[in-house]
Amino acid sequence: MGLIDRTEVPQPLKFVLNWGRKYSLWVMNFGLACCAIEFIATSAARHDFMRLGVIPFAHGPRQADLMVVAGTLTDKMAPALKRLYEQMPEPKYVISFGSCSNCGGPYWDSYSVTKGVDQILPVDVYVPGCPPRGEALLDGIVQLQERIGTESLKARHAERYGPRIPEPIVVGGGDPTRHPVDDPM
Amino acid sequence: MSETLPHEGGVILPGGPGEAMSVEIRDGGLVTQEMNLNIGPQHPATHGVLRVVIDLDGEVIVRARPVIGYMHRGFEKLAEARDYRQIIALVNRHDWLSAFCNELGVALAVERLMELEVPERAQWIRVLMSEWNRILNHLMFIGSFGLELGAITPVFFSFREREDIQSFLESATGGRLHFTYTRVGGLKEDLPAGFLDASRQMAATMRSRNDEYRQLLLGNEIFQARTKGVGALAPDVAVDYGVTGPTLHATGVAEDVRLSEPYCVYDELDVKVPVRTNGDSYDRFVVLLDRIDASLDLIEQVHEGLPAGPVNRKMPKTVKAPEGATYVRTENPLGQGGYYLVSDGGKTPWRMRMRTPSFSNIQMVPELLEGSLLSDMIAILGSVYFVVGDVDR
Amino acid sequence: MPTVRSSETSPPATRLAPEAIAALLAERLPEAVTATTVAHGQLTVDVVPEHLPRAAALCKREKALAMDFFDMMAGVDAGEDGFHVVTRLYSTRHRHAVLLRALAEGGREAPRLPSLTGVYRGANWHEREAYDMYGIVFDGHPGLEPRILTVENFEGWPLRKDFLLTTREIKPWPGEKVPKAKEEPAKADAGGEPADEGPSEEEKAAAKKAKAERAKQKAAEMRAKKRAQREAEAGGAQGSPGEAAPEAGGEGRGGGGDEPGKGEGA
Repeated sequence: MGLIDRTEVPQPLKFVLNWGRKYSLWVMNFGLACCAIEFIATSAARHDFMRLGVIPFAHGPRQADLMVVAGTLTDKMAPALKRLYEQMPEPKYVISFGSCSNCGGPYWDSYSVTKGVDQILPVDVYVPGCPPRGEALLDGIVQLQERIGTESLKARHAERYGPRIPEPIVVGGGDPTRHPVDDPM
Repeated sequence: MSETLPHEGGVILPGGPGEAMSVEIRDGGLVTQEMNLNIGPQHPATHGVLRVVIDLDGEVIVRARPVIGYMHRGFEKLAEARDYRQIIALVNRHDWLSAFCNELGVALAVERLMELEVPERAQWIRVLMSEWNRILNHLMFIGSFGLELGAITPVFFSFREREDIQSFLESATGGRLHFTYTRVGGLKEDLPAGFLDASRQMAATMRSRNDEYRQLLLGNEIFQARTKGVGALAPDVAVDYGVTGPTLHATGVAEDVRLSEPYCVYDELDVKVPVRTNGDSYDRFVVLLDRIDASLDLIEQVHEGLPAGPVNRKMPKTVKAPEGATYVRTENPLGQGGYYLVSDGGKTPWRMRMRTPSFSNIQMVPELLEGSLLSDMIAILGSVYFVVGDVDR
Repeated sequence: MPTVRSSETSPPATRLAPEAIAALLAERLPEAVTATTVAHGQLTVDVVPEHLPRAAALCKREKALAMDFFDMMAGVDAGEDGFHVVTRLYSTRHRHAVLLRALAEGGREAPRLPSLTGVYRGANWHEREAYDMYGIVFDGHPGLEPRILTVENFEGWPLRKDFLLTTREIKPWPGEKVPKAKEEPAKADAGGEPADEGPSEEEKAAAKKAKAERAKQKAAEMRAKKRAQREAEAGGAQGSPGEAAPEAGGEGRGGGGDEPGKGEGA
């Protein structure tokens, strides 16, 4: 990306750059299933995430910086998702919307469903629900914006392509790690 | 591409660095080549993950082949692993715009095998919820059809209506999108206080707003030019493929499960099914608007005739359907939905085949696409109403 | 708007009862029809597999049947016999339907059936789905591959009963049983009872009642025994123990539950 991911930008400039980035997130519509309907409802008049600066209907992955994966990811669709994610330019963020994309959801035992989009992409925000309410997505976007406001792109780049991904946000609290196999609940 | 591409009647010569491609013109005119274009699976204008592979000769679609399966979640296998109560929470997710109608089919299938008598009030409320779901579904397609043709305004109007309807449905069922309100033997619980008033008010409002939609889109010259005569479907072809729903009614065939094999209390109500004659995209769209009016008539009839009484009955602790097989059809908003339930007497079904309307509708789409222009493809795909979860299950 | 109202469309007079359709098919194609069943008002006709296209064509072209609408085709796992394929055909004019059921030849190893795509165009994708889910090959189908619903290189036939859902094998669904208190032993049929909440209120009440009845009966028996003993001691003085015993026996047996006045019951 140039200087920004290699050097630590000084504070006043960093504040301005982060501010610009967090309030102009362009969303790539990756609506797959029922959660896509709730996503569209969140962009419609009653909930309206456009007032947060998030604009829907990016013309393509190359003009988007936020990808909201809404709906069940099947094994057949997974390569397409990965390809589109890789076409997005950095810095990019991923919100996993709905329980199917968080962990497989109601199809946890299916033979053709990828149990969670985080098997393929690094996820920044998990929004649980089936489908989540529009307010939950707004909460996720606001928390993501708060994180973007204080983030350092150099650290993010190092972490992203390093051994660990940064700690993701889970709307409503909760533990994003998988339950161990012998855990009864 | 460093070698020449041989083609009948001519040769295409790709240029070297800095040179333009040159085309040799032989006898017969300019050389053309069919282009293979892949639409989807992620595309803003297809409803969800439908992929269509088309071969183009210029702008004319020569061959179209839909590729489905990108939303195949294995419903039928999962249904065999769940008991009859759990399946209801699962099946409202294949046609996700009209969740209640899907659940209703499962409940009816199990009730028919068990030969259960469902209380009167529950049947009337089931009709009420089905019709509101029909309106919700049609509103979505009215909005998205305009969006695909470039008219962005109707989608915000239709989502305004959807939000209002969803809010009072949420007061009764607890869900905005996936209701899980039906149970085997009736409903989960009775309607809350104030539901019927909200429903009456919304029905009255919806009538006036339906006129708004007609004014927004139907008179628009561009809309008419893009949809009239486009994608005309013949009735015998439609019936051969098993097409149902508004797509079939637009061709003139008035096949509707509520008329031919009424379930719940549709045989006591005056059901109106709008039909049109041409079968093109314009007719399919107008049929949607007419169906909303017809559903509002039914809803008003239910408001007047709703009896008092219980809404569910005492069910045994484990619901077991006796051995046998049955096929139950319901009129889902997108067409005829069916469940072929084979039971071996246990808690889980032996086989639950879900006959979904969109599967048969999409199978018919190559008939409409082949021979039409590429720019009409969006109008055709947008007007053959389908939900990808319904196609793939 | 032109509409069709339910008041105008009563069932047409040309609608045939399921038994009439069965009789017509058996009469016209005796070598094809092996069995007919009518259940819940629906007709299922078992057809010899090689005659399935002929039976479907008859349903479509025969004027009295006129089944022009291809509804659906379902594969059903029939255990060791192989796989059934059930096709539903419907008539939009007469509003009657039939379910044609054929057992695919070749058992479970190589199930085959003739294709119906020559008769109904709508059979195309339904047969592809049956192939994808069960592995049933349809002879005469224009193209069963690539697989329609699963990934192209998917291994196995998902809806067969021997295809297990591996996630369920590794981790049982956590909601299957409500976690019981530690001192109660696990029930005998572990691992397969969804919606089992332990003994319900009714079962507890029933168990209590049964216990009470048993205790009452035991108490009455004890009383009878004591009475017999007393009378035996007294009768030993009077000399007729034989009378007392049947009396006591009769009392004991007959008074198991209906002597509330004794006051010694549970």
